[in-house]
Amino acid sequence: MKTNTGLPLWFAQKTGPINHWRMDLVVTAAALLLAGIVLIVAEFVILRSSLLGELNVQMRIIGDNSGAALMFNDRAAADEILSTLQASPSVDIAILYTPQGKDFASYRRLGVEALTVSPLSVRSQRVTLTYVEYIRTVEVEGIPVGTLFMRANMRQLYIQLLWYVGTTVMVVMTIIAAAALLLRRMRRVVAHAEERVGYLAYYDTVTHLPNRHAFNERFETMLGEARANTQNLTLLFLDLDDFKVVNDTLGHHVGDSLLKTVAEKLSACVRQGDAVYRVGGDEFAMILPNVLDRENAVIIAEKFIRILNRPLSVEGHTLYVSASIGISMYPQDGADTTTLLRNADAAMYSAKERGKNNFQHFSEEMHEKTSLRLALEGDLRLALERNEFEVHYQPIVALASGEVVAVEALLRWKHPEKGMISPNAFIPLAETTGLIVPIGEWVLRTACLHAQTWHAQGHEVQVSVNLSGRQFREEPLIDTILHILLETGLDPSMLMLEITESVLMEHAESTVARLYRLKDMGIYLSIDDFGTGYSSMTYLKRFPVAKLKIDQSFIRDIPDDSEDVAITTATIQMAHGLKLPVVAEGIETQAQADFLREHGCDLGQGYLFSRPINFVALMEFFESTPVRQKLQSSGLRK
Amino acid sequence: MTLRGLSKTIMFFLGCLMVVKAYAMPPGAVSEYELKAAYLYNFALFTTWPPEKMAADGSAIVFCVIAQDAQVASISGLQSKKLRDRSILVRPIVSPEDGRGCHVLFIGANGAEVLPQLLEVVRDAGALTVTDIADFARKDTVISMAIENGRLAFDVNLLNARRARLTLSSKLLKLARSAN
Repeated sequence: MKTNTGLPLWFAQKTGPINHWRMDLVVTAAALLLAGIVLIVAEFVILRSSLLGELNVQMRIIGDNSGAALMFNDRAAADEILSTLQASPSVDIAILYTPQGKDFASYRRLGVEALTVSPLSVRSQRVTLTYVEYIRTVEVEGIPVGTLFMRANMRQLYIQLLWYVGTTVMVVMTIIAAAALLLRRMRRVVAHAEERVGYLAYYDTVTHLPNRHAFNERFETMLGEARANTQNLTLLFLDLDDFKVVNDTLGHHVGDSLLKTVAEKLSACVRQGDAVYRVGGDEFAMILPNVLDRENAVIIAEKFIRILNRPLSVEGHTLYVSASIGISMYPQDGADTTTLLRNADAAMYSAKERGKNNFQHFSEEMHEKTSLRLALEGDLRLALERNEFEVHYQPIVALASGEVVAVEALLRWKHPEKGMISPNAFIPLAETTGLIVPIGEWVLRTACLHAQTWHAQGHEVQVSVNLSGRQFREEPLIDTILHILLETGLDPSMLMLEITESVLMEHAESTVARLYRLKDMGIYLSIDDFGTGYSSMTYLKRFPVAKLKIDQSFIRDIPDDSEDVAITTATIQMAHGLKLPVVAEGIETQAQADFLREHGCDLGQGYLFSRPINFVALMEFFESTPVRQKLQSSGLRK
Repeated sequence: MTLRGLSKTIMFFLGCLMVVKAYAMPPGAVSEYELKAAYLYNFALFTTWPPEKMAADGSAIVFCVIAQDAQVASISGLQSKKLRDRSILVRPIVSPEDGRGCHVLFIGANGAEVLPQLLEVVRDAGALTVTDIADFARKDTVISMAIENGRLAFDVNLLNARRARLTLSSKLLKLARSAN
């Protein structure tokens, strides 16, 4: 993926370090050169001092040996002694003087110019850049007998030094070359690692699309550009519908492959220069500049939906995916990043609510809805304390006898300002916020308390309480139930827990053992909305299920709709085969009731018998209607 | 040593050179006797006597001389000098018995008659015998001096030196015309 400059996203930061490593090399070279120079100077000093030392010794030997010659005025002997200096190539000139300062004997290297020096005019030692001069009194037994002058060249020293300089330079060059090689290799490794880190920071490894981080930076930049050029900027959020199902049923491996395939499809679909980002698990984002108006945005969104509607072949599975898309546009739907992102998100959720596989533009209502939801959430948190909840009961009637044998407990919220709020409006909210747990507990306790009341009055009427998936996940659920039963003193057989079959399946493995603890107490499960999920037969045997409830969607159109009739009768027969009583909910007409009774359906629930009513009304209802009483044989319960 | 210290030392030695130049070295213009006296001193400088001869600290080195008065006078001039921190005592002698106790025994031209007896007396007494008498003395004394090509040369008889238990410096031997 490239930015406008044609460089990968993470590449822009990298020019600095490259210059840095050149600098490092230069500094290293300078340091080595400096060290080399210091070493050379040190070597020069060492060589010179060793030369001086050597000459000193030479002087001493010559001086000692020539003393006698001076004393006995033996020039030949003195010349002979001086001539031994031939062995010392650095000595150019040596002259012996008598105490009177007259030349006594001298030595001169071949090719060296003669020199006339007055011994009195020369200091004891003179060192220039090219030669060293020494003057020294010759003594015998402490008596000065003459003076020795000697001049040595430093040619030998410079030759040695030159060798040393050459060696040092070569070593320095070798080290620099090695360091450069090493640095370059290290740099390459580091650059590679940096590139990798950069990639990881900006890219998603599953789909190889740029990630949320990249998206945020890019969006900010592009929004800035759009603002500067007074252009449009369109933001699309795309969320795969039911991706979780794929992940859960086919495994993460297939889920990842699916994401990859979707990413490829989407990338192939965008225009040159537009990028697709993976901003969340199954969420993708697209930033589209130069989209003229909403109509054009719609065309693009439709294109995405169409493309994803085709079956995808992933890891040998043929998968049908759909997506919900939310669109927000700058400047119509927001002026800043936060607003635009939030609105695109809201539009996407709105699309999901509208049955998925579609797209939504952000609209003001969505914003209001979001605000409302937030307000509602705040109220919901307070509702329990403010005692705003009520439990209503809908009677369940034995179709054969017309007796009330059970009631279903239903939660109602009486909002102080908004009045009655539909469970459909607040239950999902309670689920997502987790408030369902304390609320559910309250419902259970209240229902048990009420049931204990009518049970004490002799009404053998079971109470069914719905459990949500969220409650099911709570570890102490079973203990809570047992605790409430103990607290209220309700006969456990009077309590029935209703769960939907999808919840049961989802939590099956972890809860099966706990469910049997309930069964031991005499508490059974009722499967709600049977027929809307997987309708698997096996779990009916595996769990302590005591009742099946046929979903009202099947009941609504019987006895006219032949398909619903078929499903309903089949379900009844199947349940009876498993020796499970069947409840039909949503019965509104006598015809429905008659049909169900004829086909052996055991129990019915619906407006035909009674709408959900509060506890007081229920107690009155019990007075006016036949209600199963204690000590009466049931035959329906296991 | 600092440079200033070094130059001070040099100046000091140069000063010394000035003071001693009249005695130490034979300048061209000096007389033959003066030269021979200086040589005599130089020989003594390169000679090591047996320990019993140098027993007492500070005792003088005795130069015994049997020569013409002028030569004795020249040699007597050495008394103003020191030899290895010892003073020099010049003693003119007449009879052979006077030769005992001498460190250096110089036999000049007029000592020729007493020479055999004198050598007999000092043979084992650790004396450095020096002569400037030509020919014969060479085989009987330790060192003999002779003028050759206008230059004063000397010969060393190592056999006699060894007999007298004297050690002569190799530097001296190197300068000798002959050493055997």
